[in-house]
Amino acid sequence: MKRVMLAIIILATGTALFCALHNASAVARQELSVQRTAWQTQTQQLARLYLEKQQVSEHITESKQLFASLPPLPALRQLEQKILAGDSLTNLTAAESEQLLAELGFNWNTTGDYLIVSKKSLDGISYDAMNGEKLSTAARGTLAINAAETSAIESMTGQLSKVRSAWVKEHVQRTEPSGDVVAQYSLPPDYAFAQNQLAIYTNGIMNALGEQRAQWLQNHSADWMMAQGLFTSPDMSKIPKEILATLPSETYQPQPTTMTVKRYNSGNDLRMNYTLEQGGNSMNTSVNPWQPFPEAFSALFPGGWKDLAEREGFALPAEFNKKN
Amino acid sequence: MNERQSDFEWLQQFARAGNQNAFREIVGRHINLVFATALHKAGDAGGAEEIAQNVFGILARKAWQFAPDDSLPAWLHKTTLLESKSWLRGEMRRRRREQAAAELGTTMKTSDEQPAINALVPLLDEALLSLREKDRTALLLRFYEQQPLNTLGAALGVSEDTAQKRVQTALEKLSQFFQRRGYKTATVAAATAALQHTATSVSAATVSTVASAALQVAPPVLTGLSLWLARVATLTKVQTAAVCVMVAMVPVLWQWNEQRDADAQLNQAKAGLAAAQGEFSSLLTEKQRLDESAAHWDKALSTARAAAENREAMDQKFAAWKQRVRARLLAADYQWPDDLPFIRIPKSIVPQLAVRQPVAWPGTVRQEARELLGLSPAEREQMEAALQKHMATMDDLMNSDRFETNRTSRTHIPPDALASQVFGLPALGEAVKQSSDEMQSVLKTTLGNERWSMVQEELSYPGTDNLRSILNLDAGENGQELAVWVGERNGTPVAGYSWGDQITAISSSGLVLKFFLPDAVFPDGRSVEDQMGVAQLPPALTQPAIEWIRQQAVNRLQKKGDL
Repeated sequence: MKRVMLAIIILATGTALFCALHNASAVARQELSVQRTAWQTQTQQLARLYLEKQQVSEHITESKQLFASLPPLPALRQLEQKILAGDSLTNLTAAESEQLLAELGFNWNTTGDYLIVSKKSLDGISYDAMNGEKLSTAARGTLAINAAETSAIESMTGQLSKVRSAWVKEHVQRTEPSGDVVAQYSLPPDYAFAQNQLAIYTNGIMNALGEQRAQWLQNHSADWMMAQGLFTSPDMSKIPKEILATLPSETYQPQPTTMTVKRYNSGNDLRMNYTLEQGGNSMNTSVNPWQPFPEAFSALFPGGWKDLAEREGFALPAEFNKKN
Repeated sequence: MNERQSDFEWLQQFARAGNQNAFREIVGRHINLVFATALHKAGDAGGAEEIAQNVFGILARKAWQFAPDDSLPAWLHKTTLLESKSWLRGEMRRRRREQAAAELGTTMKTSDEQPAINALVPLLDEALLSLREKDRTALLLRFYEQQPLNTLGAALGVSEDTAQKRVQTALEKLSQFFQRRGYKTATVAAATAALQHTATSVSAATVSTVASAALQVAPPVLTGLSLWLARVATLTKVQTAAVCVMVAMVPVLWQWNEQRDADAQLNQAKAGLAAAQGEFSSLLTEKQRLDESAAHWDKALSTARAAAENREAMDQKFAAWKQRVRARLLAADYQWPDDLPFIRIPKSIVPQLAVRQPVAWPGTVRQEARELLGLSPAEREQMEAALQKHMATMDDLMNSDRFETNRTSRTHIPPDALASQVFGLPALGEAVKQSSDEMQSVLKTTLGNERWSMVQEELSYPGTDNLRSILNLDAGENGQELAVWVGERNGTPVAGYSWGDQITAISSSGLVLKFFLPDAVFPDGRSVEDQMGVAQLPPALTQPAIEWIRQQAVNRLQKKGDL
C-alpha cells in the first residue's frame, strides 16, 4: 500500500509537474505563435518597407536626373517681370538699360539711321535746345518735335526774344573801361519781368509738347533761359540745406548780369579773358574766336566780340585775325 | 540473508516457479505466529487452524505481490487479525443461530493467576498494530516464532544487540500503549508476559494441513505479462520510487525539454521580432526622410516645370512686348513714346550731343556715352578694357612723376588763403602717346569708322570735362598742376582748388571744410571728388590733394574744436 501510495504520490507529482510544464509550454507555444505571427507580419512589413524605400530612392534618383535635365532658366527674370507687370521703367539702372537694349536688339548696327537711347540718358546728354530763338536740330531730333510743335514753340520764343531785346536795350548799364578792363556791361535784376517771361516760356512749351518733353526741353534750355533773363538768381533747389545754410545770403538773391572783359599779357602776346556773372554764377574764360559771345548781351552786339571791340575801341587778340 | 529476504526468496520461488516446498517452508516458519494470533482471537484451535488456512491461502494467492522490503510476519499478523474478525463474525452468526453463546465463555479459559495479563490480551493485537512495522515484526518473530536474538537480528538485517534493543524498545512502546488505555500496571514485563502468554506452538501435522489447504487455492505459476507484473509488484519502495520517478520524469523531462525548447524559440522569436521592429523603425525613419526628400524633389520638379511653363508664357509675352516696342521705336511715323523707357534719335544729330565726362576712372564708359554710341555689351567690354589699360598706365606714370610744391605756375591761389599746397605733374613724355595710340587703335577697331570719327572729334577738343582731358592725352607734352587751399569765407572754414594745364584751367570757390573731416559725409551722399568737381581729373593728383585738405580739416577743426 505504501508503495502504491508512494507511486501515486510520485506519479501524481510527476503528473502535476508535467501538467504545469505542459501548461507553461502551451502558454509559451501560444505566445511563441503570437510572437512568430507578429515577427512574420513585421518581416513582411519590413520587406514591403524595403521595397517602398527602394521605390522612393529610385523615384528620387529619377527626379534628380529629371531636374538636372531641365534646361536652366536664363537670367533677366527680374527685369522681364518688371516689364510684364507693367511697372514703371523710368528708373532703369545702367545695367538694366544695357540689358534691355540688347534684348530688343538695339545697337548702332541694327537701327539704321536712328539710335535708341534711354530717356534716363537724356538727363546726362548735353545740347543746346535753343539756337537763338529757334529750336535746335538736336532738340527737335531728341524730343521728336514735329513741324507744328516747332512752329508753335518758335513763335513763342521769338516773341520772348523781342520783348527781351527791348528790355535789354532799355536797362543795360555800361561802365567806363579803366586799367585792364576794356569793357564792362551790366543788366540789373528784374524779378517781375523774369517771372513773366518764364511763365510764358514754360506754359508755351508745356502746351506744345506735353509735360514729359517740356521738362526735357526746359532742362536743355537753361543757357538760353539764363541769357534771356528768365532766371534772376541761381537755381538753389538742388543744393542741400546744410550747404545752403553756409552760403552768404547774397548768393541766392537776385543778381545783376555783368560782363567784364580784361586784357593781359602772356609773354609778348596780348590775351583777353572775360568774366560773366549771371544768375549768381561767375564764369571766367578766355576771349578767343571759338568762344561764343555771351548771349545775354547779344541783343546789344549782334556781331559778338567784333562788335564789342569796335564799340569800345580795343583790339582783339591775334587769334581772331588768324581765324579770319 | 535476513529473514525477510529469505521469506521473499521463498515466496518468489513459489510464485514464479511453483515451488510448493518453498511455500511449505514459509508456512512452517510462520505458522506459529499466525496460529497464535488466530487462537487468541478465535479462542479455539479449530477456528485458529481454519483462520490459518485462510491466511496462508491468501498468502499463496498474493505471494507474487511481495517485495523484498515487505515484512511478511507483519503482513501475516495483520492478515490474521482481519481473517480472525471475519471468522468471528461468521462464528457469531452461527452460534447465535445455535444459541450457544453461553458455551463461548467456557472456550476461553484464562489463568486465575494471571488476571492482569488476561486483561491485556484483548488489546494486544491493537497494541501491536500501533507499533511501527519494524518493531511489530521484531516482537512477532521474537515471541510468536520464538526466534533467538541472533536469528532475529539476522532476519531484521541488524546485529544481535540491535535486535535486542529493538525488541526492548518495542516492548516499552507496547506497555505505553497499554498504559494510555488505562492499564497503569502494564509494564514491559506485563507486555512481555502477554506476548508469551498468547504464543503457541503448532504441530507438524497442522503445518502440513494448513500448507496443503493453502496450496489448494494457490494460483497457477506466473508467466508472460502476469510474471512481468509480478516482478513489478515485487519492487522495493526505493525501486518503486525510482521506477515511478523514472516513469514520471520521462514525460516531465520531455515536457520540460519541450517547454525549454518553446522558451528558447519564444526568446528567439522575441529577439527576432525586436530586431525586426528596430530595423523597421530605423527603416521607417529613413523612408520618411526619403519621402520628404521625394516630396521636396517632386515640389522642385513641379515648381521648375511650372516655372518653365510660366517662363514660356512670359517669354512669349515678353517677345510680344519687345516686338511692339521695336515696332513703335522704328516706325516711319515715330512719335515720342510717353510710356516707354526708350526714345529714338536720328544718328545725324549725335555729333551735336555731348556727354560731360563720358569716361570715368578707372575706365568706365558712362551710360549716356554708351547709348549715344549704340554700343553692344561686347563692344562696351572691349572699349572699357582698352580705356582701363590706358588709364592704369597713365596713373602709374603720374604717380611716379608727381611732385609737390608751394609755387603755382598754372593755377591761382587766393591771396587770403590760410594754407595751400600744389601737386604738380611734368610732361610725361612719349609713353603717353604710345599708350594713347594703342588705346585709340582698339577703339577704332571696336567702333568702326562711323562712330570712331565722332569719338575722334571728341578726343580732339581740349576742355576739362572732355574726353581728351579725362584721358590725359596731352599729358605727354603738357604739365599740369592742382593747387588746393584752405581759407575762410564769411567766417566759415572752406577748402578750394585750382587746376590748370597749358590750355585750360578750372577752379572752385570753396567747399565747407568740415565735410572733409574723417567721419563726415556730404549731405547728398556724393563722393568728395564729385562734390569738388574733380572727378574728371587724374587720381594721381586728386587723391593726395584731397588727403591734404582732410589733414587740414583735422588740424584746423578737430584740434581747435571749431566745428
